[in-house]
Amino acid sequence: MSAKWRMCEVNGVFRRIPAVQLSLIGYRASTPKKLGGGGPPTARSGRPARSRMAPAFPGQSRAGLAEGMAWARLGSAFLQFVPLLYFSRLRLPWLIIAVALSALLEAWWLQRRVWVRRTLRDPVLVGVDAVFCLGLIMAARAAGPGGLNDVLPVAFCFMFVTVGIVGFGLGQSWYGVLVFAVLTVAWAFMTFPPDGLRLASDLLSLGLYYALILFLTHEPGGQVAVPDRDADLARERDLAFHEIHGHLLPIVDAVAAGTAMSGPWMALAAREAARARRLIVGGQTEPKAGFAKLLSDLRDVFAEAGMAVTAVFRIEADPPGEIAEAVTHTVCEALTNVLKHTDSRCEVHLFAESTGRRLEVVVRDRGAGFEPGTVTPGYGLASTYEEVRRLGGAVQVRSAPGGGTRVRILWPLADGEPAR
Amino acid sequence: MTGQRRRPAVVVIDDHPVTGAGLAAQLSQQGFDVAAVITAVEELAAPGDMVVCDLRLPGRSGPDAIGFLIERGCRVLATSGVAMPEEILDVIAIGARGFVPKTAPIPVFIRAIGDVASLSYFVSAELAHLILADAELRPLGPCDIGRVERAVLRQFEQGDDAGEVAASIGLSRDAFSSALSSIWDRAAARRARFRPSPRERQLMSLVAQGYTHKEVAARMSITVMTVPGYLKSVKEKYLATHPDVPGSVSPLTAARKWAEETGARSIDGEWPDVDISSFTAGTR
Repeated sequence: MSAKWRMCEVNGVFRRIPAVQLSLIGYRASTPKKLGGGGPPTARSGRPARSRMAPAFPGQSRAGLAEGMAWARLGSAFLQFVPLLYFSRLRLPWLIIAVALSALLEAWWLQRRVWVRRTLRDPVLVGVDAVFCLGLIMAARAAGPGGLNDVLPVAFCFMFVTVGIVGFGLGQSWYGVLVFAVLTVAWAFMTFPPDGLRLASDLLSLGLYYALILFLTHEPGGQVAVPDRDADLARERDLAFHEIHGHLLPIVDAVAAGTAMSGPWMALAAREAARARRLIVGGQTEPKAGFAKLLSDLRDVFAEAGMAVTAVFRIEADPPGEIAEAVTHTVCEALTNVLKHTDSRCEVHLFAESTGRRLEVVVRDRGAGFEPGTVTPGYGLASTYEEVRRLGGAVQVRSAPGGGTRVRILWPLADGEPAR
Repeated sequence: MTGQRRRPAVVVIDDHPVTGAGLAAQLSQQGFDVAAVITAVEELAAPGDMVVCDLRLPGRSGPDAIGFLIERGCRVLATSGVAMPEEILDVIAIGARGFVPKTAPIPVFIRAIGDVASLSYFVSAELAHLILADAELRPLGPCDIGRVERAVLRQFEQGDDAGEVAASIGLSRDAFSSALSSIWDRAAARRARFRPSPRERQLMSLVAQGYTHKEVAARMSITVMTVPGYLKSVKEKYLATHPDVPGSVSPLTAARKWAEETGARSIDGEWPDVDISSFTAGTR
């Protein structure tokens, strides 16, 4: 990170801001206290950096369950290789190899599907798994020796996972019960001629297991999901408490007490209103990274200083690093100028478009403006202009008294475009 | 091009009396005749006014409220502090002449009212961006907005006002007006084709609040078996309008995400039950 940049705490989130500008707008890197000694108290809580509601996916534990079942399926598929230890005893050893390999393939497919969809409530997945399980126990029956002792336990493991997938995937429905019935009948057929005691214990354990799952899926997406919803609500409630208590109440109290709305108070009120708004709206349009994030952080810093700054970004791809840095500097200088030369509630718009190979950024304010030719850019602007120009871009400034100012940054400079 | 000659009488509708009165006072200060400040659209006395209307209101709210006003011949400028992009496009489609965020400084409101009075529409940079993005996401084919309309919107996106846009593209006043009305017309057509139906929205709102299929069915008075059908239809529309989302997204996730995007969580006025009374006012 260049020495020109500094990490700065904004709204409980650390952001990368040009250091020079921070001093201009009253920020100090070490002290998050804002705007003047006479300013109102800021009851900052020590909660972790989280500026907006970010509810976890409500079905998180169901998703975890689905992934767990997928892993269990993979494990049970590997087990199908175990009968190969008794290679010579098997009637059709090649069939067991084929069964084990296809079981692995099926488990891999299932794993992928669960990974993407994060749910077992997927009739195709349940159907494929049940049909495959039927095929597997039939093949094992065909390949195993007369006594079946070698293939039976591993096939049972496979079947056990299938019953789990059927139970959680189809829940309390007649389809589920039907599939379970078909599976158990097939199992009974596989162990033919029946060893009464073992068959009974197998069927009893499968039946109990299935009943337990049905109990857990008491209603569609029900019991399993309830703790998630409660946790989400608790989290949102906690967040709302902090926002109301720590940020909004002091301002409302001050208004109720008749405190005169001086500059610092108004700036604080504007900031906290923006914060509450972000909480409600959820900040969906906030860019995550890159050039857009750099610019939107910059916008936030100036918005926090009380400027009414709107922004439109069309960033398909980030420009090269040094261009992004030079442009951000120029935008920052332009916004700083607006802040210095007009009143703080001046309307400012920031537009940025980048395709990676072409870039256009406009800073448009509706402040006082100036007579072109009567003002020479200050040292800050002149140097950042030079930086953009050195990299093959151009900065055009258009202004009229009373009509505001428009700073347009272009890169690269197209033929026929004036450089100034 | 802003209509400074004859300033229209304005009605301000906001459920927070303080906010409404504040805006009205500032407008009066600027020489506007504020006819009334009311807290619900149903209180509107004289139809045909210029109305600045908040989108979160008791009773009729959001697109519903805007539709109510338009039926009564009002020219409506929508405003809100917390509206989501999809909701803004909805109210534009229903006939609002423009949208101004509540956070905007008063000169923006004045310019907006002036533009609606003289040009019938007010386009802010952000609204231009929303409409363009919507047009890219949901193309209407050959009858979509043309080159001129796109150029107009792109110029608005850069922060120019109506006069500057018309001048920079070289449009006469009539050509500019017709470009604007074509933009509005196409925006409405787009919404009509790709929007979820009211029932689908109700369902999205409920699943986004974390209700189970059974609870959703009970609240919508439908059977549990029909819930997946609704979800599937929502998913199809969601995929049609979100080309970057993989087709393997589950219908439930699609419905939840779309509800969050459109702000449908609050469309039927039902927010997740956060019990404010349990917050203690003491220190913590």
